[in-house]
Amino acid sequence: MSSYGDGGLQTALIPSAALAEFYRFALLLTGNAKSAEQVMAETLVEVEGQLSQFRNETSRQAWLATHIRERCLKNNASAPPAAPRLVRDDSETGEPAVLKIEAFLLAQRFHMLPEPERSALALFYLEFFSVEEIAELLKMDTDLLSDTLGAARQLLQESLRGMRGESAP
Amino acid sequence: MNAESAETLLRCFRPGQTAEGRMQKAVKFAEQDSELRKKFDEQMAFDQQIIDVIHYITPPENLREKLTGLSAQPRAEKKGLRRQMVNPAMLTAIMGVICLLGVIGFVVKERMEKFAGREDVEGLLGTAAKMSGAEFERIATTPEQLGDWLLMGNYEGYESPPELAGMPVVGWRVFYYDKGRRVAQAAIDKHELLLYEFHANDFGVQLPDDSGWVLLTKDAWVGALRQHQDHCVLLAFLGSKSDMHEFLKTLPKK
Repeated sequence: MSSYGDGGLQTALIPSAALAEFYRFALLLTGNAKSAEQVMAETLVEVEGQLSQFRNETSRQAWLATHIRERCLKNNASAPPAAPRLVRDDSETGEPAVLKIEAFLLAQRFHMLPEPERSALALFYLEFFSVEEIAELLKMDTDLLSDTLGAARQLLQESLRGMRGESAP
Repeated sequence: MNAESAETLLRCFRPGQTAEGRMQKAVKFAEQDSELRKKFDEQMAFDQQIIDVIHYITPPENLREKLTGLSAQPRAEKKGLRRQMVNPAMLTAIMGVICLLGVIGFVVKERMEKFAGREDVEGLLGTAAKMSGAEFERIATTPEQLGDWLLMGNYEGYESPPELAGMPVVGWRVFYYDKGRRVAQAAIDKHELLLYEFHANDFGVQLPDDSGWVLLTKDAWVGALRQHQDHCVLLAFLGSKSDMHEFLKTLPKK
């Protein structure tokens, strides 16, 4: 039984650091905080009861990442990329608000990348899995992953350059 | 190792990663190749910037509670549906409804097929086999123009079937069938179709009003009958029920 009682999810099986990484992953794929939370909640409901069957932590996380990714892509298909907008103001935490905003704008730019470039780069930056594990998760070999990462970086750079242009007076 | 294979490997190099094995060789190769080194340095700088920004994204403090709360509603609905579908009581109820619908369908079908006056209509359909064609008065018109001709033949109250509007009528007659019941008949130059029209009361026919076509056969003939108030329309030709089904599909909707 989880710490949330009979009606709770088995999020207790996921360490906080991993939960945060999954949240970032979902955010990068969906482009906004609300969708990321919704996708994670739905995924955890879907996989409830199966998380405990994994004895290996990496396998459990890879399996969860696969499900989160699938659900994010499904979510994106039903909700096409919107124009960048601020989704949350975390300035009350004392961190520089501008950097927070940039982070969420970055997530939105990430969200506009095509697949599998978006997933590949998100997983790569999250340092959650090894390169070999990412390739396996995305069902590609490491050479193709390398090409995908190269293309994804280029697209993201172009997109960020465009963002600077948009924000210019 | 050449520049291409080194570059392929280096695209997968993460900032801060300890290079080992082939990756270490690729890093060393890049150190001696100015062009590759430039690319690699730019990649590392870009990656580091992005990683820094991404790690500034902090999940809400109460993420676990939020996820539990968010999942409560869809979960309840999902489980509720699943549980209900495998619930024996629900299954029994569903089976009961299916059986009931089946029985109702059967009764309706039976009533449609065993309608009052069916034998007389089948007898009427059987007269077609004895016809030579010479019985008809020759004409070139359409079903909607037949009323006056039929009235002259003492058939009152003809109602043109709208599905046959515009079809070429090449012959008509009014004849008396068993016990003096008047029947209007027309030969249509399409599908060698015969059109009968008679009054439901004369034949004791009782079909639900406008309930669609009821098919019946007599010898090699197939008929399609429908009733609208006191008017019965019978279409007939040589063929099977499936032929009639196909033909009826070609008719425009009323």
